[in-house]
Amino acid sequence: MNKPDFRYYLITSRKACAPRPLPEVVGEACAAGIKAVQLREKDLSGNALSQLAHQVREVTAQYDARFFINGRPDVAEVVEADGVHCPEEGFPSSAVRQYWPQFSIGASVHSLEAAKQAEQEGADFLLFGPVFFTPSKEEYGKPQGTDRLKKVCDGTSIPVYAVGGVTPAKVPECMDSGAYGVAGISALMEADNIGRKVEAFRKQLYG
Amino acid sequence: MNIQDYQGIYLITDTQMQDRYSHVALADAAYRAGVKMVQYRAKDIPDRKALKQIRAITELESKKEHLLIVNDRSDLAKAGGADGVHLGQDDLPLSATRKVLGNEAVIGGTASNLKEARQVSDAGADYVALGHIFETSTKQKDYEPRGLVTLRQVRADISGPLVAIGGITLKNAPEVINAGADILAVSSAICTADDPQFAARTLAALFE
Repeated sequence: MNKPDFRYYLITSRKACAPRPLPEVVGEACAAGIKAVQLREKDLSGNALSQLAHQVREVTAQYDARFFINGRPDVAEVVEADGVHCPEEGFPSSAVRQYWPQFSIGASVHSLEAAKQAEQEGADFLLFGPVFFTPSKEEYGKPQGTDRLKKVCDGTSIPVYAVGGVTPAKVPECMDSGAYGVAGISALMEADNIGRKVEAFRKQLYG
Repeated sequence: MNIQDYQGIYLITDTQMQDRYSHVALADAAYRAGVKMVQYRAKDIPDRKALKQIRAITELESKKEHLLIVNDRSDLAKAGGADGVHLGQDDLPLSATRKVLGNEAVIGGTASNLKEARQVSDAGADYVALGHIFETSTKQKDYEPRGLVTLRQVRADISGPLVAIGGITLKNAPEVINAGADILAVSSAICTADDPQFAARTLAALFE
């Protein structure tokens, strides 16, 4: 597969952007230049998730942004998303590859071993983290740091996005470690001025 | 197996009320005992592991042409090689699920009253599961048991396969069958029995 056409991967959290509705915030981010969005709303039932996914699909399509659904290839198929994002213990990349060959596949990994496995299972790109400290990823333990990020980038041959506490200022050290891009939830979801924040990331990612 | 012709027991696997038997072991015991329909229902199991368990059930020698239905998730059903999916009122709509699984899949839906039963049936479900009929500890419910009165009402209205669910035991099963249920869904009656395979056989024998 061709390398992804995005360097920033926006991960949603409707709770982080409340009271503003998620589709509106995603639309603002896309208008500012975001080219890839992952819908990650794990607590929603299938029905509620598919309704929200339809709305976000509409917004992302308007801006020609790639749209991924976390962990649910069925929902991704129903809303005609571009891909599925597979959590490490979630729906396996190999099963998505086999039954939904139309999808592009991102996979979250928290170790080099898992990164190699995800690549072998057919993932198109990886999310590795948490690289830096972030409250939203506390469940995954201590920050892994850029040394481990570099090991994952060196040990795999597909693009790796750094996630977890990545601010615009920290983008250069991620790229120096071999990252293809960065991903984030709170950096944009909670931003007061999304356009300015996207621009700050853009300058660091594209120079 | 064609669900249109099935009159029998429908096991819903559970490993929260008990942990002596795995989903796979329960399904195997049921299929061996003459239960031709099993639903894999696992809460709080990561998808990667759930998919392995579903595939293990589809590969059981005892499974043969019997049915395996996956609760809620059409993606797990599809990738796991199951025969269909069971949808609650909060799950993906039936039309969307049909799109994912195709026309051959068995898709059932939950209803708690006549109105919902009609909706599920009209949406193209292969069976309607009405419940809960009696008090049940398997699932937290925020409404009263529906009882046999509602079951008879729905039976008079719905011609397709009708599944009764909730609090069904060996003791009350005969009256549920008399009230018009084609299929009895049970969980604790088999999963928590001293000998699940024996309990499944005893229940299945009610239809012989």
